[in-house]
Amino acid sequence: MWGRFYWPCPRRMSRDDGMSTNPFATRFIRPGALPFLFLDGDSAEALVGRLKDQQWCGQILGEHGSGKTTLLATLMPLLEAAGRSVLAFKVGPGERRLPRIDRPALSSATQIVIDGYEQLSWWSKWQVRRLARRAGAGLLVTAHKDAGLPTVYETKPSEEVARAVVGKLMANEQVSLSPEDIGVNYRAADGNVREMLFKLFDVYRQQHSSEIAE
Amino acid sequence: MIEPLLSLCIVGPKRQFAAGDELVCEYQIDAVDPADIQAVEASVLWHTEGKGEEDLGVHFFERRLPADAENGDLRPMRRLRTRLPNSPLSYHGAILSIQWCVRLRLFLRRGREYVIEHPFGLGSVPDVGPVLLAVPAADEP
Amino acid sequence: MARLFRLVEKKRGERRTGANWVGHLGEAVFCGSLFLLGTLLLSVIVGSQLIEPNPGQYVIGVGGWLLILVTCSSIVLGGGGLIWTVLRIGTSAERRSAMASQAADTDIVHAAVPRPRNYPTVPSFEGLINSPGIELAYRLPATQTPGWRLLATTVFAMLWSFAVFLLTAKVIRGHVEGRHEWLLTVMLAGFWFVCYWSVREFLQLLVMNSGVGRTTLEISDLPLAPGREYQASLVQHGNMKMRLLQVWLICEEEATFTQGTDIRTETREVDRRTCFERRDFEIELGKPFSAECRIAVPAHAMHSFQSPHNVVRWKIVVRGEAERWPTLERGFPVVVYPGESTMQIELGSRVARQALMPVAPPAAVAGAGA
Repeated sequence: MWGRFYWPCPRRMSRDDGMSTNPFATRFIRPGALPFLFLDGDSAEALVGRLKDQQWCGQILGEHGSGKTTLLATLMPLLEAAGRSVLAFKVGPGERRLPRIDRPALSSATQIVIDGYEQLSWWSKWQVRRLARRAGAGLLVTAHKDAGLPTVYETKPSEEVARAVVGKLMANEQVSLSPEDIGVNYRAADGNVREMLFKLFDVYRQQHSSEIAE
Repeated sequence: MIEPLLSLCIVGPKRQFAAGDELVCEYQIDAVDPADIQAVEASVLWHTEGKGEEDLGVHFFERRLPADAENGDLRPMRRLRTRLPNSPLSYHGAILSIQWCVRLRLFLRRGREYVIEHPFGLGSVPDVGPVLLAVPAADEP
Repeated sequence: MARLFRLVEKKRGERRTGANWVGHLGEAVFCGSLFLLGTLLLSVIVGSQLIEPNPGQYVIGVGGWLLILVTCSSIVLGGGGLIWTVLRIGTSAERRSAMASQAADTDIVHAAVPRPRNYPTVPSFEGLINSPGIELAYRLPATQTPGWRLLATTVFAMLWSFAVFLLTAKVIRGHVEGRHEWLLTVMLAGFWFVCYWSVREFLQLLVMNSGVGRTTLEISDLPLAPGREYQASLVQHGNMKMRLLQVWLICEEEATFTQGTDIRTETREVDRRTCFERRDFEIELGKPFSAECRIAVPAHAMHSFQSPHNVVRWKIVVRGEAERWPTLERGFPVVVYPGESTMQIELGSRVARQALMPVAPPAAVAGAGA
């Protein structure tokens, strides 16, 4: 939350202070910074409802940079609001195992969430599924390909989604990017929205610097 | 519910500082019951921004509890002083920036938290010019 | 500088005094020979079994099995040793230590040495000044850009040679038994050509990277400061016809972002200054090329910066284009401290932003995804 300021305390760092903030910096595009945009009529609430119908077990499928982790971040508060006790894990690059899960801590109200599920070894996958099954806990995972759980949602980026994301990021900006800039960079990134945003970082920087120089 | 009013400013006209300069800040909290305040943290820090993960370094940090304040009231104006270091200098590069700011964080009961920041510059490293930001054409690798 | 190993030698600094290339070449020859010998023997064993099967010869207790064990061990040890040697070529003792401990992100400039307290986030230069130079104050350690080409060529040459030997044994067996597989025999000629080319390519790259063409760079002072000039002394060994030799002072930014299963590291060059350039000359064996040049750090240069995910790095790069040799490029890291001009502020009008040199397109982005 932001309170009022005594002058001069700009909320967004301005050029006159010698700094500027690129709307495509990682702090603004990381999962959780932006809500997941449903352009297909679906919603996070409906998704949670589907998960509940599937005994809180499911998978979110999608390619690199398609928004799986962002969707997960959008779902977290809704899962907690639905009375789930969320136990979240993020499987980093090269990691094959999860940290030890305290079995007595699991219950039917527990929701195990694993981001990057397919990176785990088959043994870790088998272990966590067995743990969840025995405790009656829910299991929600993200994966690039089918992980053997019911699919709750499949993220499919499109140029329309890419434009909507950029629109959200640049809502308060005076420098605007043309639809052509977005389209060209979306196609250059082969549909990877995250990679497109990194490319637009440079485009914005270039345009912003040119305008300042003028 | 009325939101608390946080006021933070840098004393003096300068917003750009040299290494070794003294930075003086003042902050004040209003529109909140003093009994509701659990703690106030004030810090002078740098953080990166750009295409990488955000890194952060704290140069000055002060945490005050009601017991540290006169009459247990953390709201009255407080002044901070610190001498700024030699590095890292403020920087606006091609894919990363280094930014300095004063940050005030207010902790209230029931887990509520409020943050405000006031940026400033350290040093005078020029920005990376537009000639170096030649973005490769979309069809280039 | 000693070319061959000397038993009694006064050490200069902490670096070894013998020529690195002799050690690397010897190691590569030994490991390569071990690998080839193992491959050849195994091929002969397999071939002889194919021609005249006698499995009883290799049961435990007779001794033949021991021969298979020894040949397989030779292949594994020789091949592994060769790959390890190749990975270590051109690297410093500090980088070898980092590789051995699998500290993938360790940079020799940022080895585990406490940073100067007066300059937080500026990396230490301790690792750069532990080797005094002959002409100037310090000899800079080189950071080789990853020799992926050499490594890939090595692995390919090894695997291809192994496969060709086995295939040749099979074809010979066929001919001996009267089953003339002429198509395979003709194709084998092509395979042997690829084998010859890959081994030749490997040897060329090995010679190139092992230190024939070794580059040394000395500098008059460290750390560097903006607005100052430094003397540098370059010595380039080898036996090459050089089309172009350049020395650059380069500043680059590096930012690493981890999201989900991906690590994304991007490097962007933000400043490049040409310090030296020479065209069309020859370097003869035993007569290394040497040159002096001045390294001028821009007055408003950003200092070196190191944080867990973001880096501003300065380095001196020696780049050479030679006839019949791959382009050589060797980087020598340096540390730039904040300068008097950049630590201060310029009151009044805006700070003059000096136009910087145009640079080549940004380096490729390295990403490791699931």
